[in-house]
Amino acid sequence: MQSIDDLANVITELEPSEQQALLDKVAQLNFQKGLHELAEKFRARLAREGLLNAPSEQVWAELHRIRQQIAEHDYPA
Amino acid sequence: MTIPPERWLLDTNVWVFGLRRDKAFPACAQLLDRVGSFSVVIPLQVLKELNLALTEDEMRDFYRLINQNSEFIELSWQPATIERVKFYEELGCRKGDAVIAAHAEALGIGFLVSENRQFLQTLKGLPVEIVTAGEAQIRLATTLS
Repeated sequence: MQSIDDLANVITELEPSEQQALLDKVAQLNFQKGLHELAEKFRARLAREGLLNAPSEQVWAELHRIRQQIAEHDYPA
Repeated sequence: MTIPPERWLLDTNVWVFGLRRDKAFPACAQLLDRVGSFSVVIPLQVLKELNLALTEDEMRDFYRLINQNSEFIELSWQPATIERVKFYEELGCRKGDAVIAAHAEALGIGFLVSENRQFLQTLKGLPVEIVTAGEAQIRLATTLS
């Protein structure tokens, strides 16, 4: 494993466009890491609640219910 | 940060099936894994729905992620106008779907990703193109190649 200083030296040797591409990639990977952690937390909670393996139809029904509930509240007929 | 050129709206079902890693909708998780190579806008209706689907703690993590990556993921707190919601209802959308379509129009979104089949079929031929997560991945592969 390279030290931070070594890595910084390698990065400063890159062209500006390559540095930007690297920063973009790091940002994207950090986001993905956070999203994976959130997914694991979500799945663990669903498993505790016995909902992780719920059929898709059940998930759909809940999503439709939530959507209509919010829309009916915000845009009453 | 270089802002990705494509700006997409991911419907709530894409977020939920993706985060669940639902086996019936594997493309949703795969598409979430590509966020950053395209930009995402999350409109108010989707935020409200996620707020009910996720716990307070999970939403806090979600907001933190968004705030840390505002270059390619943004929130829109602007409500959809009632006139445009009615417009999409008259086209055959259910009210909730009409709100999403109105958001997409107001935000200038050309590309809406949803697994909602009724939604997909109702809004054919409009400026807002609605595709499944699988189709979005194909588009992404084409765009980036």
